[in-house]
Amino acid sequence: MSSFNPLQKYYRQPKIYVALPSKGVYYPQGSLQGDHTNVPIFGMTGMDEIIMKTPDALFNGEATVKIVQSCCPYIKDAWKMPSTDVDALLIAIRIATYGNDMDMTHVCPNCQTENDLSIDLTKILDYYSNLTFDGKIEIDDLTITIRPLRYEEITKFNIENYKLQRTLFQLSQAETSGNDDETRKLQDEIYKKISEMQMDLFITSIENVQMPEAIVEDEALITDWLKNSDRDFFKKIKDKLETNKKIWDMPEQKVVCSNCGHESHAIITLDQANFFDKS
Amino acid sequence: MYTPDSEIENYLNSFDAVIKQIKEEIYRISWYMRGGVSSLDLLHYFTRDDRIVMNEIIKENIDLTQKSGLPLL
Repeated sequence: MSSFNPLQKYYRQPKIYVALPSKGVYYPQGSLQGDHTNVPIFGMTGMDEIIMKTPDALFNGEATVKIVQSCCPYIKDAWKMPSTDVDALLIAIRIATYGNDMDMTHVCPNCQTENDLSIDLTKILDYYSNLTFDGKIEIDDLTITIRPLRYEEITKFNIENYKLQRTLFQLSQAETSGNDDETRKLQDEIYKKISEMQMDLFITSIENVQMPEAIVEDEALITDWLKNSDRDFFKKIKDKLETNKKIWDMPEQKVVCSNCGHESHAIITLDQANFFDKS
Repeated sequence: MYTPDSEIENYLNSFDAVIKQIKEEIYRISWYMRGGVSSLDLLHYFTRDDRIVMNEIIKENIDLTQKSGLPLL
């Protein structure tokens, strides 16, 4: 048999079709092709499953990018997809590969009993399809437009944050074994870096600032304004980002303990390593 | 939040085990399918659903061969 089969592109068929929560709005030119209301989703191949179990690829984001591009061919450059689509697409791929239900165990906070539950992922997908990203913040006569971060931006911030937190931990260990002054100096530097990173995150999220007479899109000008503006401005933007984060986080699942009847909420984490582990 | 190194190591080992399991399944299917499907195609183009169907066919064929008393190889 020849090594190249011209029928290869017909091997996989879409399992489900989803509407992108972003409505295709935040994709740069060329990174999304096709109708955003009807995106075909394919099941993962063996290679996709292997990539999802490759630690370095999970850490640097390559695993998610590779499987999204493999299972959602409409998305040409998954590094550019907005954060609002990431969870919904991962759920859709999970459904296309393993089916609608995901089994998980939740420990009751009241009596520590392990409760097994099965989550219908289509309901979570429905939740995302009904959301719309609200990116307007109005402060006095200014309108600030924010956008969801791209996957490449989230990954960059996460890796940077991980490295800083890890260094902080190592320093706290060193502190207990002496060299206090030097360690504290290094800790202060790291806290400063974390704070600068948060500022970067804010600025990256701001698309433009609209004044009555003009619209400012220049990142340097926006940075300068934010650094010199009222604390109140800063707080309102922060609150909006946090509200959006809560809305776009995975909805919690209500669990009633089989042993004591205590009602609690299970959080589904989209840590891909766990999420794609069929159990 | 910090995950101890030993926990990370266990986690990584579990990844290795899953990867090995997927590879073993693919090579086994490829062997039993007698050229009907290559390992590369199974790895790059077929999904888990396809592998489930192939595994069922293989099991059926093994059962039939055993009942008929014919050699499998």
